[in-house]
Amino acid sequence: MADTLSTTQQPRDEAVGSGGAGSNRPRRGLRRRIGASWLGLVPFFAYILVFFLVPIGFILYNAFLKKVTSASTVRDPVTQQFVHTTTTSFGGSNIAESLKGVYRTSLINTLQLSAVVAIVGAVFGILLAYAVVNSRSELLKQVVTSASAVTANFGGIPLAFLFIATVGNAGVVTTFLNDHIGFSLQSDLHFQLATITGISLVYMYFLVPLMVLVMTPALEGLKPQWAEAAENLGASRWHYWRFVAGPVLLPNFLGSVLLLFCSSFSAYATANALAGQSFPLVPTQIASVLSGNVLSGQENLGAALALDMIVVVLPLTVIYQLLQRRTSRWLS
Amino acid sequence: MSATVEQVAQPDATPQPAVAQRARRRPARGTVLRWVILILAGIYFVGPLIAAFSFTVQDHVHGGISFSAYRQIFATPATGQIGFTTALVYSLELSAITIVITLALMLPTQLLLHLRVPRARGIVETLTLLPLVFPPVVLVVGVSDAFTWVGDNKGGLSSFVTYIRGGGHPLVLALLYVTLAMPFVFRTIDAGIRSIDARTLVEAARGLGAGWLTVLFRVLMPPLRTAIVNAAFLCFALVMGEYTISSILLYTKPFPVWLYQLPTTSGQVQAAVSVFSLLLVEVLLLMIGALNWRRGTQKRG
Repeated sequence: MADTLSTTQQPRDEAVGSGGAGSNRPRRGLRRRIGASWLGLVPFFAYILVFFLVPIGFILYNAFLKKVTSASTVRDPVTQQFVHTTTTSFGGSNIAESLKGVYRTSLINTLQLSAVVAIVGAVFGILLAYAVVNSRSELLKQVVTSASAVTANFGGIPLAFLFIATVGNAGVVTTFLNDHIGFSLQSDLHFQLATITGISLVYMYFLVPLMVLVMTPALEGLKPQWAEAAENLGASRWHYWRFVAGPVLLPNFLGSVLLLFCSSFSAYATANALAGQSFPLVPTQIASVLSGNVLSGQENLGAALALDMIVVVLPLTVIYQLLQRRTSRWLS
Repeated sequence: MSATVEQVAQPDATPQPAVAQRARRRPARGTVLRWVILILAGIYFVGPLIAAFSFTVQDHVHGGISFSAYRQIFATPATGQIGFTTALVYSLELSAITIVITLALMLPTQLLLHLRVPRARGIVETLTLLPLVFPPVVLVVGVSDAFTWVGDNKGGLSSFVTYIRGGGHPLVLALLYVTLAMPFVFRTIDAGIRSIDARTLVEAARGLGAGWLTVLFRVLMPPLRTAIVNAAFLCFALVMGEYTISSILLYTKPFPVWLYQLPTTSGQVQAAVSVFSLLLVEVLLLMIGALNWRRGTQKRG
């Protein structure tokens, strides 16, 4: 096991190029010792296998497994109870079901929501990161970085309640505007938290900081010499951004858009607390299926919906990784 | 590709010059725009906190200000309900277990990757990134399916599954959180190991006759302290906020699930707990940030 792995990994290691290991390949005498070292990685591989790969395997299997339980009219001769026969068959019927009706709506909603928040969040995020990077106050930088780290992880239930208390139907801002200005967020602006606008507004709260976190190193990597060189060659500010900084940042920016898209695509807690089932999204539908809100025989719909999500997220993550690799050519 | 390899091979060549450059930078342009952005961001990020706080201290009955919502957080819960402290302690325990398992698993693995089997790095890193592709709401489907399968087949596995799902301390949550934390923990520890010259340290210590345990705990751990603290904090933040898996697997005690299920009429207590928990995490993270910052400046000076 250890030996096969070490030989199959050889080409891959050169591609990743860790610590210049490609150049001093282990000599034949060291081979046994290296083989023993591979044993030390067994706990990690076993852990990932049991607590990650096995569950994912169940999804891939169950998504195509259709269970049909038929209550037949035959009684068991001993217990006199009706015999339920469960037949299973393989096929795409779960997948087909997961792309119909409310599940179709939820998929479209989720894709729309994620696209909107990814693009808007990325634009606001890079502006904020730019403002912070170019500030000369070390304190501001430190506070924004730390606060971004907190708020980027601050999804979930508390965030939803924060916004319900602020701009919800009985929120502070809502009632203040209503009482003092006679302006209603609900009837004048048609603003509701349980809509795509409302959920987008709340998602920005953790997506913009995420963008700041991933773009700050990239913006700091823009060398002042590049701007000076461009200026000495007669470039305007616009030329600098269009032909120097823009192209250098673009892969990173696009990658970050994908990162924001994926993280809003798979967010569940905030959406559930804000909208529940009133604005169907794929994650909330999955939770609803798992809690048993399905017809008999559709138990594996959850796996099919999960597979739908994987099909969306997997290619985006691969592109993200490729873009990150391209980024590291100029910025590190 | 060659550029990537070169940069990966020399991890510590870049960070320091940035300081020198910053000092020489000309006065920043677009100052007005910067301030507009910063002020808008300030309103958006601080505003809801202030608004939610003022929401929690409104006294609807008498008018004016009342802190009764905050008193209610710590009030003795009705029979059959879980109290604030129970939920908080439960989540703290979960995060402690998660941190211990994560570090016990990832530190030796990653040290081994750097010192002995660098060619395994690619596959290990790829595996740790998987949780980004299969988010919690997807993973929980698989876990739930696996539980159903084990339940149907009643093999020797079912006692194992019953144990990790056990009532007192559902180990299964911690075990799953470890995988969720891996993408972040891997990078944090990796950066830590790269910033020290692990190979030289180990060779020097071994040459002076240190045993492997001494090398691990007295030579490698001290310089990796910052990375370990950061990794632990990432786990902590993840566990304290995790709602998806615990709620779908029907665990009611973890803090976010408890918060969502709070029976209230006005929502004031929920908002109060939200503000309180955010401030708690924020203060903790700022403390850790300050720790790192101070260490960073000491190194520079």
